[in-house]
Amino acid sequence: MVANTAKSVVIEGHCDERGTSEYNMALGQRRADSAMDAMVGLGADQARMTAISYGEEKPFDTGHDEAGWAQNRRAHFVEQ
Amino acid sequence: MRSTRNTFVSLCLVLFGLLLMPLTLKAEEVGEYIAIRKTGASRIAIVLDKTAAKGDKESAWANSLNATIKGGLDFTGLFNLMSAPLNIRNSQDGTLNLASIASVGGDIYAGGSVTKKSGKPVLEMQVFDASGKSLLRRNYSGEESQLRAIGLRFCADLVELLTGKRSVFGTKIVFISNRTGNKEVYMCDFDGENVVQLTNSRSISLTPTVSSDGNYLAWMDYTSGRPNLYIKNLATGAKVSVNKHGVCISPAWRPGTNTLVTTLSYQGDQDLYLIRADGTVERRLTKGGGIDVSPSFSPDGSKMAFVSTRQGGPHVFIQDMNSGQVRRLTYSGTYNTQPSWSPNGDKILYSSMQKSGEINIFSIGADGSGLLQLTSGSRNNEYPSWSPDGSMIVFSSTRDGKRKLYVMNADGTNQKPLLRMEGEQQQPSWSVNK
Repeated sequence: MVANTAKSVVIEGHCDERGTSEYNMALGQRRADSAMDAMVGLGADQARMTAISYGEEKPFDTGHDEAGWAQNRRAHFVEQ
Repeated sequence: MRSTRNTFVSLCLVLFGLLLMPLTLKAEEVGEYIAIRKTGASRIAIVLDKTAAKGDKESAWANSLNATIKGGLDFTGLFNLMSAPLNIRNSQDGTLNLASIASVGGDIYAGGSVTKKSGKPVLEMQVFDASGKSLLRRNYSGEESQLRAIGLRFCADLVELLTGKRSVFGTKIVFISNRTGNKEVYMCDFDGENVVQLTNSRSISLTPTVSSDGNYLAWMDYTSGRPNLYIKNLATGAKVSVNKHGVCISPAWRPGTNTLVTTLSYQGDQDLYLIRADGTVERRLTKGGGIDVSPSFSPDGSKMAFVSTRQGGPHVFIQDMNSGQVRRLTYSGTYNTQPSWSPNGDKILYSSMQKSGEINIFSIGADGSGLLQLTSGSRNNEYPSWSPDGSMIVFSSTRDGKRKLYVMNADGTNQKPLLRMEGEQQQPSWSVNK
């Protein structure tokens, strides 16, 4: 981000499938916001980052066990 | 037999008098209104006679009306439906033998005939109690294409007559389905019939809900590349967005107003905000303390139940809309979400994730008393929503594998699938019909 000033990034917050979807949507936002705060702490420009939540809507791993859930609790960085 | 029945059903006569109605009115009323209020928990034993008809056209209408009325009354879970006994009509003159109703244990008789007037169906229905007293005699008419609506109008009148309350007939349910491969908003009738797709976002649509007057639909989707809350005027089709960055989930309309409350995070925390129907923010209702989500209003709009993590795990809290005072409602369990305040104001449903990982629906008094578990042993049961008359609850469940919609009576009995539809269905919200 610091080296590549022309690019912006969407930080997606994701959750595992456990729990209820609206609460997970809020959790995903907190996860994305935390990741963005960490990036800002490292010197990245906040104006070029957007934090959004997908809650449990976009699982990375479709497994219904801890291994799958661990994969799904994540922040995804998408270059724009 | 009679005295036993009378312990279940007490008759309370309310004479409204004879109203002279112009012949042009679609539903004529003849005779007197009599409201019967159930005092017991058992169902009303009703003898439902086949609709009489002469002629091929009329017979086809009668078959359709019979199916609608039987299905409608059965759906409510209020009735024990009985076929008419063989001796329901006197063999000599064909008149009703009302004594036969009591002989088979019926409380109520309902039956009638359909005729053709100017090419259109006219359903004439009569209702008697077991003593032979006439409770209702009314005509229902409309276009041939409206046969289902004609039958359901009689069902609505019958339930109102026998319970003194409004019914589910004529109400709608909005929900999310991924039938097309994308999650879109759909609407169906109270019994799962007449499914209509309302959005074509080709993204992820979530948490649809209709305003208490039936005029507005609110939901969120990702069509703009990020989550956004949309409000659509269902009559004009005009659509506005709330357009704040961050999360925007689980809107709930404040009864009697064109304002809604939803979770936004553009000021940092996931807090609840009051939003006007034009998409602008009126005021912020909660501040700090973690996540505040999933609002649901008391019927008078003065209080709001919602989920908050202000005291650790997610629990249901109640905030007074005027004073801003907050009290915690749920103390049982560690993960309580998705409150739904009953139209009668006395109960709040919520979903609780239990130690086993299973999610179940609970009912609790608005004062925190009378905790009752409504689902169990059937995987994840979520997102309870009351019918506008407070008699039934729609929810989603994974009890048969895929997430589908189910309904149950307010006390948790009579649980059954709502509709047959491809894909998964979730987030049902029961609403009035405009």
